[in-house]
Amino acid sequence: MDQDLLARIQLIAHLEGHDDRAWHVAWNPVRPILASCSADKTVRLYNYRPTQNAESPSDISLEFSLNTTIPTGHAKTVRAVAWSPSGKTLATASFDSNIGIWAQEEEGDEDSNLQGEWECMSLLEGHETECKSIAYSSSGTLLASCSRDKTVWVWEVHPDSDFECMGVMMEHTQDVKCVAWHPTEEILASASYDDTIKLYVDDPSEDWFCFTTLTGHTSTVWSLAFSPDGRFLASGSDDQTIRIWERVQEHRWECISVLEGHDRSVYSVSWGRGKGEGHLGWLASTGGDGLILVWEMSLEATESGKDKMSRKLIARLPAGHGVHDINSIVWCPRQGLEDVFATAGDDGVARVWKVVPSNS
Amino acid sequence: MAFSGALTLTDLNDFITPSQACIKPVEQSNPAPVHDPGAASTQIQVDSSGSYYEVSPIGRTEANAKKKLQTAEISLNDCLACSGCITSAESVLITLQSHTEVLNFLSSNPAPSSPTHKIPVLSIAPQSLASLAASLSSSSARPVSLTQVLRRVRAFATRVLGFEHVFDTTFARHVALREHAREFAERRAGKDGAGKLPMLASACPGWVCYAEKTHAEMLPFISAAKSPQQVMGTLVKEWMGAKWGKAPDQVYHVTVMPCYDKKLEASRQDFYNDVYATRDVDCVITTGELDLLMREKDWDLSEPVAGELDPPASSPSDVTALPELLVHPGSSSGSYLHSLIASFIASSPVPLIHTVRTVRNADYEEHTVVDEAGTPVFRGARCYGFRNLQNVVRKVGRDAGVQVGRGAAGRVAALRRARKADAGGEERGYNYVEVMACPGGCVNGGGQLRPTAGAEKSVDAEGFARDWAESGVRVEEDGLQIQAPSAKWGDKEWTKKVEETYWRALPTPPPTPTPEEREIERAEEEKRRWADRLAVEVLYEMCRPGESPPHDGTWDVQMDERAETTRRKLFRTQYRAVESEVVGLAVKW
Repeated sequence: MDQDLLARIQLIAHLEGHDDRAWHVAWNPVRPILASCSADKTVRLYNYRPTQNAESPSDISLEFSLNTTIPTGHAKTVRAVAWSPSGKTLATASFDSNIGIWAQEEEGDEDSNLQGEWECMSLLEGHETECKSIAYSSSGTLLASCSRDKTVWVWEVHPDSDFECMGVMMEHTQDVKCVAWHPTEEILASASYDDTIKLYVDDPSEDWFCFTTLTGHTSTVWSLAFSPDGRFLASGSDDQTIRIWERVQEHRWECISVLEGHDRSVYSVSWGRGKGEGHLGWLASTGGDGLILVWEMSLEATESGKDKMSRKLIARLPAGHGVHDINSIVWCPRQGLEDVFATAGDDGVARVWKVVPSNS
Repeated sequence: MAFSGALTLTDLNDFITPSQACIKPVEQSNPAPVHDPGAASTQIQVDSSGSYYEVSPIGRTEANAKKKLQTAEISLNDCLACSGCITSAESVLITLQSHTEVLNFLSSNPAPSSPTHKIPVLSIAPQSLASLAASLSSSSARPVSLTQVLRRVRAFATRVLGFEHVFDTTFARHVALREHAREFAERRAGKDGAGKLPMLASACPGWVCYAEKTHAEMLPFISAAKSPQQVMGTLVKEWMGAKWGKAPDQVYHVTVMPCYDKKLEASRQDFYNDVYATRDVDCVITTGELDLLMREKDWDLSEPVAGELDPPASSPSDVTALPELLVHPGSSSGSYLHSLIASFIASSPVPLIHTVRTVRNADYEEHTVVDEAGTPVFRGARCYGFRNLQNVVRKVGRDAGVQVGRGAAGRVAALRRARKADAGGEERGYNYVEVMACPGGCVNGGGQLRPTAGAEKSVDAEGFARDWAESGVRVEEDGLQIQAPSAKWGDKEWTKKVEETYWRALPTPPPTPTPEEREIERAEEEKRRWADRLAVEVLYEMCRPGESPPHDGTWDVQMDERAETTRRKLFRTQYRAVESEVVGLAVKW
């Protein structure tokens, strides 16, 4: 059945090294660096460069090499990592309830590859219990975090690795699993064990507040991903489905579609631009079943004049990390690499994949 | 809606969440029977009434088959000693300090003629009076002042409940503010053993509790001066008690507070008198609980009582009379920063200029005092609400160079900061911060009355009352009416109203006051002088009994070492970090 699909998922790198389960991966948006984090409390940074296949020069692949391992100093698991849009700062979210802010000591000139060690520039305390997810806003001026303490925090990024707390939202009734920022506006989304998704904006004269709660999932919502155009939001849940929410009014989002295909929890979703034209990008999902699905999302004109979302499964790969759960899936945000994504699994491995047309 | 009670214990989804299971070891005081060597282990059974029994599966006889076990009991102090579950502490304190507890005490208190009779005393915070007054004013044509409410509550408490004395806590606050300023001066002078600067306010028990649990590095900065509630406790039990010829345990002291966390404060070990086995404040009830009490007793607070409009006395009527409703200009949360700045300016040999800057919103203000040359001589801030509190902790930690982060990563970051600070160019930090955990401060405390249900939402944008549903407007959220601001900031409007009511005790004098206004002002001045004089008298009576204070003595008077030790014991307290040792349930995801 897989051969009916338009594309297949090809493994291009297998990155071992963590001593415990790998939780999350993050692509540096500017530089060729991939970060992975793990229950072994470390972050591994890999450099990569394009390579050409001697037999077919058009077949560009990537070659990965370990750059460094950051022994974060976090007392517990590093659950998530996030790069700032400038690519200069890395944030780590840990089960020790803290957030680490990492940057390289600048030695020598900007472009030099001989940059210094990754150092902890700041430690953000505030969460009472395990920090589960972190995300930088698109402008890089805000950082959001969430925790098992049921709160979502927004921090303002100040010069010199300084941060100011802008808001503490105590809206969820349970563990908050994931935070995600809208790609262009300052809208924050959070997903929780209470089965809901909440969206927040800043009231300029007051504080951050939750302006809507999206309900529909029947179990924990694990992961969130906005579409690259910001009009849609995808959510992955323990109810084995992915829901697509559309922004129908400024402050109103509605569920327009439920995607099925997984037979365990959907732990991670990622919405990349994808290759080709005329669509809304590629949505990748994975989870407890180890299955990787890639959908092409697009808009179809309808008779009523209002366009309607449609999706097409374009690639499918079972057992991406063997028998192990896959904890995260993340598209590469860099130009020319829209068909590349990375995954992290319970086997402690990070893998990098490329979506290639079936006929090639 | 839990927002305004950010650090209070009003609901189970409290911000300071239960982070782990209760660690209180179960003590078994039933003597264990001598076991046969090698006897088999026992089993525990629970019967239908919830009692626990230890059952021996072998050698069972009818007489000794089951042994009733004691139920584990957890006192509030056990809970306070554990960083675990505030939520369990809450349920404990609700039974230990509630309006029913007050009623139980009063009904079991023997008659005054009995030697075991305790004198019941009620002290009410001005913020609680403001909450009640605002609530009354919203449903009556004429605004009700704090004085009127105090007198109505006094009538209720004495006539209906049988309290012998009812006070407001503003005189205690007057003393607390004096001691606070004195401590600040000590710190500023770098006196031995006087804590560090910046000094942080300590009147908010939510903040103190939070700092003890999660920011031990802040404790040396927190003022050691007792809060008004605890000063009131000392005054009632020690000073008044002595005047009445009663030992501390022969007085039962109830306070009415805008805040649930005041119950935690009253239960602190430092405010427990070991000799008499009594607390300085026996029971704390919230404004809401007082309201409930009045409702249960069918007392209508909107009914005027005789003499409620009489001006407050400006001289004592009996030996334990206190000046009524002293006004401390500044903030409705105790005016800690303002009174400090006022005393700073008053004691300065050169003229000083005080400027205020609002940072982001009304809950974060920076106050700077500069001399004529424009050189800052004092920098302070007023920070309310959990979010601002976070930033205070970060800023104070950074400026003072104390280690904020725990763990290796934190040490690296602290090291970096220290290196950067050495490099110079560091902005000067604050000298003092008035920290309160609730947004809006104490007038918005978790124990305050909430606006009458529906009262807020049934008013349209222009202030006209209307029923939205009846007008054909879809009430459920839609794109136009996003849910949060209306739900959340409805409370904000209410807080503003309570704030206004709070200040109604003191009408702002117009530039050209009328004779009546001048008379009020003169009476206020008289009252304040009385308060200052009384404060020193109290100090001497308690610290140097038998000696009268110098004629021009102020609270700042320096007494001999023994008397100063007594003063510290009576008007200061201490804080201790609560170690979080227990690891929560292993979290897999």
